[in-house]
Amino acid sequence: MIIDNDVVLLARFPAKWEHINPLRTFISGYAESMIGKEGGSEASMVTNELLENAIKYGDVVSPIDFEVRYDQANACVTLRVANNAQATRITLLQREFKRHLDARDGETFSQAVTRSVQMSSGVSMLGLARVMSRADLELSVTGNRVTMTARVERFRESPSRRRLRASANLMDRFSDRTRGSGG
Amino acid sequence: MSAAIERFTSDEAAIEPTDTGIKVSGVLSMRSPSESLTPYLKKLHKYLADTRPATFTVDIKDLSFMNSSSIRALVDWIEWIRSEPSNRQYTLAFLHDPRITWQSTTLAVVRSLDEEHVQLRII
Repeated sequence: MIIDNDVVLLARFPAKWEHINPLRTFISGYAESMIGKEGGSEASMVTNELLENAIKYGDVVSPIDFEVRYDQANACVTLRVANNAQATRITLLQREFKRHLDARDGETFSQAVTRSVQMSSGVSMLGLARVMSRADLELSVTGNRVTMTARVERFRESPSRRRLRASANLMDRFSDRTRGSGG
Repeated sequence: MSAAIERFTSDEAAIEPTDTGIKVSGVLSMRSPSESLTPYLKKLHKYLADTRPATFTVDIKDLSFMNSSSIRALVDWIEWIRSEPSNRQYTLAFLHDPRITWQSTTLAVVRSLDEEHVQLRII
């Protein structure tokens, strides 16, 4: 039986790319059944990006700890990824978090993509920006141990956002017809 | 058009030509898209800039996931179109499933980069 803040999954595995997809698929199905289709999609994306981030920027010989909790009272899935990283990587992560927090209302994924286009080289951290734009994310560093915790709640689209999306779709259809009639 | 466009396959994703463009399915989550996906898209872009279709459809409704590195490859594609002279530019029409949250949110960002050359169509 599920109770508040149940631990759903505790996993420790080597920092290897092939572990990401099976875990993402499991979380997608689990979160969809608990917090709905949109929540499942968000949890899937967050799981993927956090695990990719841990593997790309972590210490390759250090295993990854992955924890999933479900908070029934708040219809929320918490995903926690922890591993060791070198000091230079930790500084990079902290700088990225600070950039997001310093930006007014947080840097959106769109802004991060635009920034990445303008970068001629370096690390874009697009995955982290993608997570931060869709979920509450916390970074905790103790020594060389990095822990990222994300909360994904049941998705609720506001009426204004729904109207905006419908309007964008209509504009696209109108644009298609205009182009079609022009030639 | 379809005969001239090559197929792309990776461990978990496939790109197949269609009558009006390409259909992407599976999961695009490779660690280094720059080694395989980006060169494929670059070659496709050169073909499209040469032949200049009115609209090129990119059907992703059966793509169940795309990681941020692969999104970056899509963004590069838009940038290549923008950087071509106007007589070699073309429009991409992304066909997606609005019920899949990541598709809607990601494509909205891609479209915001260039509304003139990116259209979104829902199934």
